[in-house]
Amino acid sequence: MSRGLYAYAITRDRQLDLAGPWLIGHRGLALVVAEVDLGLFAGLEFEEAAEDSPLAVLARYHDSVVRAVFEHEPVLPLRFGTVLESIDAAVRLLGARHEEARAWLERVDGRREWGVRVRAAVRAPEDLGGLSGTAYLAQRRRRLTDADVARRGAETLHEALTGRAADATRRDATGLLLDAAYLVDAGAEHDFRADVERLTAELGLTAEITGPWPPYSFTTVEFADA
Amino acid sequence: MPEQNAASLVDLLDRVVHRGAVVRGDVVIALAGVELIRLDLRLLLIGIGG
Repeated sequence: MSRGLYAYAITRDRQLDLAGPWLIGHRGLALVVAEVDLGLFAGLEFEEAAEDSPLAVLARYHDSVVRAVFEHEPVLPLRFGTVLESIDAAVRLLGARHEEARAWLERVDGRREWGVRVRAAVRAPEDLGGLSGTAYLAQRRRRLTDADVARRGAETLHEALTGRAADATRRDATGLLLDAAYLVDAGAEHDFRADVERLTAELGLTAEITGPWPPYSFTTVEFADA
Repeated sequence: MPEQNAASLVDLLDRVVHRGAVVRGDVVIALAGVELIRLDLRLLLIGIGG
């Protein structure tokens, strides 16, 4: 069976007890790795990603390792399924991308990611059949106006939260008025969360917050070994 | 009042599989299965909004 070094994250080279994974250090930086059987990654299927599916188990473990490091040191999480050939390859990568990786670690140091999602309101279907033409149109206009108010509210929320955050990233998602992630200074988290609560109430929105996360959404960098 | 959920599997997979730093080049072993999952995930994420 073929084996490789699964790489979870890049961090600072420190003594960390991770109960399994270990650090390969080079010039002050380190790759968090564990030896894996490549067969584990064959035939994974996303469509069957139930809680106990192989993909879910592997992804949760990946996240738990990243978080264990993140409790102590800043991390650059690597994308799921990053497998290196050897310890030499790990050292080569850390050497070739040293400055870049260090700069990214500084950028996320002392910060955590929070996800905020605002759904478009789902209304109970009403029976419009009995309404007169005028009442029907009035009802329809009111709904369109409400939708517009909610859309603008979500924009206002995003602008305000972006102002609170060190960085923000947003994704277009059908059916969602806002699907965004914010990188927030540890010292500003309390205010950030209070803002989400206050603003969503003021704007009449319903928001879901997820987090804190390691900075997955803010380390979308590509490291080539050359 | 915002709800705070435990990390749902979709949120987790979105971050772990779809985001984070990418390493390319001779140092990495390409896992065909993983590339396929990333594609699937992208399709699914486009789909969940609707």
